[in-house]
Amino acid sequence: MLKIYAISKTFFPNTVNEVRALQKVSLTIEEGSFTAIIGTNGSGKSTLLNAIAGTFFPDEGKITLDGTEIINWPEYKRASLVGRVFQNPFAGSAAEMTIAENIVMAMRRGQSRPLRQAVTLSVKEVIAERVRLLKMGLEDRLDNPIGTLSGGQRQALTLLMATWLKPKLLLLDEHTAALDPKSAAKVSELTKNIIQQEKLTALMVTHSMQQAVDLSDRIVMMHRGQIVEDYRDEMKKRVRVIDLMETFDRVQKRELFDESVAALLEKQYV
Amino acid sequence: MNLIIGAFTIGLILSLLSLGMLISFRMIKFTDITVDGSITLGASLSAVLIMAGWSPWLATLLAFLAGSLAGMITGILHTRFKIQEILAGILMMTALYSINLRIMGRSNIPLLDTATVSSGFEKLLIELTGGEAKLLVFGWPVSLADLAVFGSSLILCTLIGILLTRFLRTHFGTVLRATGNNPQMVRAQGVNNNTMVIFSLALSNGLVALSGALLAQYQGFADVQMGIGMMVWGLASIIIGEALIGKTGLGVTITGAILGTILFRLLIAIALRWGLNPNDLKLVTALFVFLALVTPGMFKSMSNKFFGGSRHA
Amino acid sequence: MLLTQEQRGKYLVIAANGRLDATWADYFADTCLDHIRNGHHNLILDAQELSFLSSAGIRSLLRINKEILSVKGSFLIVNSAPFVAKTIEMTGFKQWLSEQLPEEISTQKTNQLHSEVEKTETYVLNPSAMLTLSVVANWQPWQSLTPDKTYKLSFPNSVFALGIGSASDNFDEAKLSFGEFIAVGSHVIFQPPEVKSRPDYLIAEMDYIPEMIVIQALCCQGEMSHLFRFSPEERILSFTISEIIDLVFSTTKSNSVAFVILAEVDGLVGATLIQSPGQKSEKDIMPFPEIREWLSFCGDRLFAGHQALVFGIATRKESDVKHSLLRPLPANPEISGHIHAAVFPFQPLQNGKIDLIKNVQKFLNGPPPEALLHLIDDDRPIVGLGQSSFIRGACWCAPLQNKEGLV
Repeated sequence: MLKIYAISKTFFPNTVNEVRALQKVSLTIEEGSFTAIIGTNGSGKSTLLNAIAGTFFPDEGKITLDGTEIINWPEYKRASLVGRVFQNPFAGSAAEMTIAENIVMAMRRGQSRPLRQAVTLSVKEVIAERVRLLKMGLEDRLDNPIGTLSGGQRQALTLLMATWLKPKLLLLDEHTAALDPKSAAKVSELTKNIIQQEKLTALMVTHSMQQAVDLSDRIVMMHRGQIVEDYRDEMKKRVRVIDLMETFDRVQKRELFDESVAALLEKQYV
Repeated sequence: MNLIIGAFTIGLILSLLSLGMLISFRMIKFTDITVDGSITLGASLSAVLIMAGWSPWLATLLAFLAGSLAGMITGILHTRFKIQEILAGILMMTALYSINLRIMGRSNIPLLDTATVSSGFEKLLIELTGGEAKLLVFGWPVSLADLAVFGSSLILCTLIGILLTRFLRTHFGTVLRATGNNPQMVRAQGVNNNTMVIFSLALSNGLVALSGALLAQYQGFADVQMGIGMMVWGLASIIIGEALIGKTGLGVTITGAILGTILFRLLIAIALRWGLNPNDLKLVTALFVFLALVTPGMFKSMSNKFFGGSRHA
Repeated sequence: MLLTQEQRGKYLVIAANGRLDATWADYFADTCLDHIRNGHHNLILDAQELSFLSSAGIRSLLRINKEILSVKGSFLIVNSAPFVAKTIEMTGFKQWLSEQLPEEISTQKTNQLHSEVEKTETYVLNPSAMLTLSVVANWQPWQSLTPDKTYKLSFPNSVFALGIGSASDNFDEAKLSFGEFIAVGSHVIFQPPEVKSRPDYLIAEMDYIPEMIVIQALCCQGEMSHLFRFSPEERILSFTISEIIDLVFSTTKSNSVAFVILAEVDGLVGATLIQSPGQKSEKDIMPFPEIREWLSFCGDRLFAGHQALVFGIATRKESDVKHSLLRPLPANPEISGHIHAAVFPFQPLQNGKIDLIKNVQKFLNGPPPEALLHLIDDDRPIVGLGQSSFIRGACWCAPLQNKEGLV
């Protein structure tokens, strides 16, 4: 479904602030799989997601989605294939517009925008029906500005919007990280249900290893712009949070092992 | 009464300016200074064309298109060439000053005894009243010409208001409104937000130029200086409109902008009548906008008093 | 619930004021377990102000009692109100209840747990005991490995050893799994050299005596001569490994020593093989960064609050025991040593004179070891992690004598 070939991205090249955010990352995501990407801050996990979404263009490499080379597609064009939920619960919807207006925009994601009235009564009925499934009582508030809702409610709606038209790929960028624990659990649950019901192909960046273990069927660990671990199939079923922690620990220990440690061990390790 | 009709007429004409600015300033959140230039563009182009014997309707339509072109260029400067929005507007406005002088060939064109968009309506009125030059309105004599301009402005303005409302409620218009709210979200829905900005600025400045064209025909002249401060007037009108009836919905916002402009013109007419020096007018307007910007709660509470405070509940 | 405690001789009297119910049971148990951890093994619960005891409270008392039994301490409840006493009696724990305080309890409050004894208590086990050192050092890092460089070592009761070895019984398998080990009286703990694996262990049972194929080993045979206990006092909060080694030297009055430490960890610094040396074939010198594929360095002071089983050998400059496996310790270059440590989840140690083998057994019967490290003194300027250090525990030691050649 999604194939990433050796993409690299360096921010602020040739300056003191140079960040090699992605270093020849390759990744293939099969259709219908739910992959979680975990990693420390600055590991490049969000950068990888943004590279797929088209927020920036990588320095090198190729990305094909559903057999189409999309590396030169601008962000808005990729939206026809990709649904997205952001970390910031306010980033996925237009605050001053009503719930119905926001959803009606998502109902034509990546399609033409005709000069016909967008929010008609019949459309509203369709919207209310789907919104009712969120069990948040929002179906009665379709004409309220979406900005009046809580972060959790907005994120749930954003998720609904991103999947209203079945995307070839759903990108979730730490979409529960900014929510309170209760809302986060609710949105997590919702994510799982929607992905299962619609049989979506999804890629989720998360800070929470528990969430990665609970929701996904494959876990990719990144560090310093590279993929350092890839738990899939049977391995993923076996993996627990503590295993992920240990892997993190190991990767970090390796990071701390520098020349001075090598000199120290040469002196003392026999 | 003449004064009131006049203020209403100018208010209706300038409400097109306010509607245009409502799109740029409020919907796509673009501080567009092109307005000062494009209103003059509309006025000068229509004046020159009418003087050259063109149909006033066609001249007005071309003014609209010219304004759109100006707005489009500002949008391209900002989105394509990454120039800050204010600077992009200033560049276009400055360029338009010369362009307007070129169009007119001099700094002022009088439009005396020429046909205007209200001429047809005036003829109709004259036929209806059987040749009377004046008509009694609430007991006051008003010239048919003034009534015609007022009536045609009212019809035009209402028509445009309705069209705009309906347009903004379409799929396309919905995305346009979202662009200013959350461009990131608009991109994620597969829409090029830059294209939306360019289109919105074109529509906005088209309406502004249209307003300029009608204003020139009503005043009977086009002046290269007439655009100065128009942006601030438009902003003041929008603010008054929002204070008056709020911005709880699209129709409300648009009606508010129109009514706000009319009220603003009435206030100005009254102030001038009471002896305000016309030279101080722009200073007073600027002060008013300043106050409105720094004391956001002021107008809200004012409107609450007017309407019993139930609207925002 | 308000808990106040008072040290009276060897007893710690804890006065509980309030209700010991589900809300407070965990807090109460954790507080008491903390006291046990800090060496207070004789607890008296003064229940005069205890107004209520639920089953959750009983459960917490059971947890405390279990921990106290494991260190052979004592647990009594005094002054209990009739309701509380009845609850305890009816649930079958009458043995906890006492009419009055034990007779030998001091009448006054004392400041410290062991005010009457020295801070480090020393016990002479067998003044003439000695350990004999034999060395296996056929392999030097990072030579390529051939079967002739290995040696089969068995670990009967009297052997203490550390080194690099494999539990596999033939070379072809062993060469993939050489890693650090530590052996204390027929209990072998070894670290399979894979980044993800946990330490494994072999225990002598019935006729079985653990055996390993080793490529490097410091192996001592004999018995320990002394035991000393150490625990923090006002100014000293922890003991570094070189401080403990100094104590070992002064206790044994010898220039070369071997020692076993069972102690609560303050922080460990060390390195572990993560790839078996048997897998290597080409170069003898391992440059950076390739070395990172072979060794893992802790990178931080680890395992605070865990319990460690340490075996080490240390020699002074004057000693005639010298070997390339013994490297100068940066903290005191006059002393050379080689130390391995196995890390276990915390279990309290009994106070006083305790038996080494029994306690090692106890650890291996409990939760499995978490890590095995070759201890390193990280003396790098500024970023250095320092030496490993311990909070409280026991150290068995003996003088060491040379035995030429191989075992």
